[in-house]
Amino acid sequence: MCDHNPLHCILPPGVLRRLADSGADEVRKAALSTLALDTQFRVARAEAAARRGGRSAQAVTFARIGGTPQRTVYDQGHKQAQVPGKVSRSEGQDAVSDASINQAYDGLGATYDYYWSCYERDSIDGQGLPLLGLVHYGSNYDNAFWDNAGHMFFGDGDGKLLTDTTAGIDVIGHELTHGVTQHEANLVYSGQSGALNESISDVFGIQVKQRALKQSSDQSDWLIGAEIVGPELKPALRSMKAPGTANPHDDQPADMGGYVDGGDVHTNSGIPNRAFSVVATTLGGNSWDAAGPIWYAACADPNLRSTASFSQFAALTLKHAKQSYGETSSQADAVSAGWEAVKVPL
Amino acid sequence: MRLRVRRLGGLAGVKVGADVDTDDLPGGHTPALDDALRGLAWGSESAAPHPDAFRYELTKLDDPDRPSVIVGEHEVPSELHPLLDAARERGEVES
Repeated sequence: MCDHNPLHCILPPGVLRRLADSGADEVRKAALSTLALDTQFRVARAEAAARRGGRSAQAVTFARIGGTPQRTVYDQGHKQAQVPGKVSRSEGQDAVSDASINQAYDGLGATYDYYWSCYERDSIDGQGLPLLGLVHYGSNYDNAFWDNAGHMFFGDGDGKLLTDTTAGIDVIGHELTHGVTQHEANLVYSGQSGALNESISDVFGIQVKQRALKQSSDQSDWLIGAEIVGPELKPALRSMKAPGTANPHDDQPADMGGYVDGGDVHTNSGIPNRAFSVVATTLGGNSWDAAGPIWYAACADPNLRSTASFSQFAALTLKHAKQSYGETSSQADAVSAGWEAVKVPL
Repeated sequence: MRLRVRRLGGLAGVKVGADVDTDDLPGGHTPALDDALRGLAWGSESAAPHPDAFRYELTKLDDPDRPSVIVGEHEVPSELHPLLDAARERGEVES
C-alpha cells in the first residue's frame, strides 16, 4: 500500500497538515495531495455516519390510531440553541398572536394531513412521530432545516435573500419530507442520490402546497419558496416547471444535457423536479391523484438504494406506474414522457 | 489577515461569498480569533450533518498555498462568529 510514497499510508491528518506547513517542497506537495485524498474519504465516512435512519432503523412502536398530528411549536427567541425553547403552541390549542408560530403550526399540520390522507402515513416515520417546530431560530437566519433528530428549525431570514421561512407551506413540506426520506431510502446527500433527496423534498413540498390551496397541476405555478424569498432571490428559489429561471442566480439544469458533474444537490435536483412536473401536468387533475402516489411508491420501495441514480429512481417510478395503473396506461406513458423530457434513460 | 468566506448549502442552495479583513471586525483581530483560526483543520472538509445545512469555506488570501477548510455551521467556534456575521452582511450571491 505504501509502494510509492510513505505519506500515502496511515499518517493522521494533523501530521500531514504540519508537513504541509513546514516540510520541504516535495514533502509539502505530497502531504497536500494526500490530505486532499484523505479528506474525500473522511467526508464520505462523516456523511454516512450523519445519516441516521433508513428502513432498518425504523422502530416498531405501540399501536397508534393515526390521523392526528402531535404538534408543538417553540419560540427560540432568536437564539441558536439546538434544544427546543419556550413552548408557544401545542396540539389543539388556539392560535396565538405571533403569526410565525401559527404559520409553522398550520404548515406542519398540512404536511401531516397530506401524508396521512394520501398514503395513510402516520407522520414522518410512519409511527406517529411528534412534529416539533422551532421558530425564530437565530438572528437574521436565512434558512430552515430538518435536523434528522425530530426538529424542524425556522429562521426569520435576513430580509435580503430570505424572509420569514414559516410563510412557505411548500418549504415546510420540503423539510419534513427530508425526514420521510431519512426513514425510507435514506438517500446519500451528494451526487445524484443527493439531488434526488432534494428533488423528492420539492416534489412533496409542492404537493402539500397545491393540496392546501386546492390547486390542480395546471393551476400551480410550480415555484418553490415564492413566499419566503427576499428581493435578491425573487420571484422564487426554484421552478420545477422551468428549472434555471426561478431567480437571477438560479443555476438548475432543465435536463441531463446540462447536468453538472460534482454539482450541488440543489443544482441537479432541477432535472427530476421537471420530470415530476411534466408527469403531473401531462396527466392533468391534481398532482396527488396519480403522479404523487407513483413517486411515493418509488420512494418507499425497498429496492430504492441509498446511492440511487436518477435512472434507477426513474425505473422504479415506471414500475409502480405499470403495477398500479397497467402496462399500457396513460399514467405509465406519462411517466415515460416525463423522464424522456429530461433525458434520463429508463 | 484577509479571509475569503463562502457560505455553502442551505435551503436556497445559493453560495454567498465575501472577502473580510479581520482588522475590520468590530472587535478587531483578537488573539482569541487568531487561536480559533489556528485551531481549524485546514485542508479538511466537514460533511453536511443534515440536509440543507450551511457549511462555511474559509480561505486565507494572504497564504495562497494553504488549502481551504470547510466547516459545518454548528462546528464553527464562537470566536469566529463575528467573522461569519461580517461575511454574511457584505456577502454577495455567486451566480
